[in-house]
Amino acid sequence: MSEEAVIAPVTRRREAKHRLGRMQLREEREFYLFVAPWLIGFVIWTAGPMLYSLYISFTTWDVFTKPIWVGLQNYATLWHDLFEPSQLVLFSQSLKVTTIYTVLMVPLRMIVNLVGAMLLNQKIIGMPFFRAVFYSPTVIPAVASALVWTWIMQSNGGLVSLALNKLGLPNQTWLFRSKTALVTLVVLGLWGFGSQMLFFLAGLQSIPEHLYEAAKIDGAGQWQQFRYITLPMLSPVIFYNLVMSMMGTFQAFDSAFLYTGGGPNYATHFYVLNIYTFGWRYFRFGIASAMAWVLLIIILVMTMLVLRSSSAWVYYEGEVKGR
Amino acid sequence: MSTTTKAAWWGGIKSRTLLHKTLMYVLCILVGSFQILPLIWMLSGSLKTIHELFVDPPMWIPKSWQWGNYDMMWNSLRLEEGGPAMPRYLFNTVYLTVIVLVGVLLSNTLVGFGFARLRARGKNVVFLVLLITMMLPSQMTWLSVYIIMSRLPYPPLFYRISEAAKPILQAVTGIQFSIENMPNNWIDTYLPLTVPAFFAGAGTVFLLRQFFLTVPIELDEAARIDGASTFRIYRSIFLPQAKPVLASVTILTFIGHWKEFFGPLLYLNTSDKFPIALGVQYFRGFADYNTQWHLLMAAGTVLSIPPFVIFLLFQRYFVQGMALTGIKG
Repeated sequence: MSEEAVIAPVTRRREAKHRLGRMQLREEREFYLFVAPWLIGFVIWTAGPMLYSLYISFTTWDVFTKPIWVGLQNYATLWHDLFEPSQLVLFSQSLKVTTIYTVLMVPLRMIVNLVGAMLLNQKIIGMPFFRAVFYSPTVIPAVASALVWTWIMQSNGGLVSLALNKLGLPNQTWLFRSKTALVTLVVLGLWGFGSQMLFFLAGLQSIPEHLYEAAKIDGAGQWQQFRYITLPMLSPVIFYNLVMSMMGTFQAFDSAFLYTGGGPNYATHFYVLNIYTFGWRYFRFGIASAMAWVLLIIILVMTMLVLRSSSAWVYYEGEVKGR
Repeated sequence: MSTTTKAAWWGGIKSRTLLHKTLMYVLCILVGSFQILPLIWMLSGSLKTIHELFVDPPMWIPKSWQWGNYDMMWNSLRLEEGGPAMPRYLFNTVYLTVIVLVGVLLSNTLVGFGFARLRARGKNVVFLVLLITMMLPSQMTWLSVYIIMSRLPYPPLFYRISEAAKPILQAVTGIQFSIENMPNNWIDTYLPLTVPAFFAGAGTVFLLRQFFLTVPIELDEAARIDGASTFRIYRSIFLPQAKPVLASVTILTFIGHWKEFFGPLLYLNTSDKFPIALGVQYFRGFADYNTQWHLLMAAGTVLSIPPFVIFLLFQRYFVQGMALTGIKG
């Protein structure tokens, strides 16, 4: 390798720096000044704590004494729990519950929000009113909606039980039986359309009318128009909603905390609730941090898989396919 | 070919669209009822006697409206030092939200402006990192941030100011504030809930950056020629231009903090310091109240009305902000 080649990058950088005038240098300094609140915040509230929690995950620590380095033992405990589930770790139980919840919730919520958006996309009078009504449950605090739904689901005097009695169907304490609790949370979680519906609505409104007209001329029915125009044109929005919804649902906490406390018999013991329990109830910060890191890996893998699959089913207008 | 015969079978295009529209109305009303009836049920429950709540068939409109339920709910839960708890919780929420809002508006506009308008080496990398942090699950940092907060010393100046402000606040609001000892660290204080707001959040930065990019560059060029400093451009051109977006951010922040119970649950131990959402959850936990459904419904209604009204009044800003940031509802 010639001397020239070794020196070149350095000098080139120096030249570049030289070429920046005083004004540009000042602008650069100003940029970092303006961005400083976020940069500093990133270091002290995100990057630092992440590295710190990585360290904690290699220790056993109750916060009151000194942390003891145990290497990969916490991760080994979690791995072991996959094959021999234990009430002391609850890793595989919480993973199972959260996976079932996600698998049920993500598609159902998406269908519900898409149907809501398609209804709101109709050109009828009074749409702004319906939009407000559809969206309003989302702004209600979870604590308040948990109060009213617990009352509605109440086995003694709740609306649901009264209706079931009328129909002569068996009545149950839906939230407090291990067989029904998780499904009940899914159903309750479908109340209220979220930002997903707004994205779908925006997506629907951006589909050019002429596509439908052309299809009608070709004799396409309602279902065919939906299947071959609406769905492909919406696929970028579906993709975005899928990724966000998956990440959000896997991190579910509120509903289990507010409705069931994770019970009965850990039937709704969500993954994040488990992290919370190990951290703030048992003060086992080491294993709780290990669970948090495993969560990050799970979410990364899930996102990667969806990203990988997206080229097969997401249609971008103007995208060059092939190769 | 089949379309014409079909249309004829339906009885012509006109009646067909009429049928379609009627069907859509029926569906909208059905779906809308499912959304709104639980809220009306809560309101109606809050105005009934406890006996009326258990009547079969259910009664939507109470015989005589029990406004006294609200009085009971508002005043019966007491603070540890005496005095009603709910007004204090309301005060706590307002206090927290105001401080957080100042932090959010100040820090996010600065950072958003920087990303939208200033050129610098390494900017793309910094921006990429910002985007990545939007995807990180917050649980990653709960435990370690909690530990950090428990190690940070409480600034004596803050303590002196807050103790000095208490008699004044008590005189103005009529709420009792107890004298406290100087906290050892940030746990069980408001600092963990407010200080991070001053360090900008990726979602809001992104939203503001997107907006600032749409401001015509001629405006700042003209200002520069007139000798304005960068900060002056930010303050006198960009901030006034951004009023609608700042309104969205304010509304989303307000509603977010009104709902918030998780952060306070982690950091606050003394029940006097709870904000209202956590306060209602705490109220629910007492054996004296957890079967008093009329009082619980009153608490739920009080908790729901402010965000509901704000949403209805400022729907446009709300939806805009929601759509731009993609914040989950």
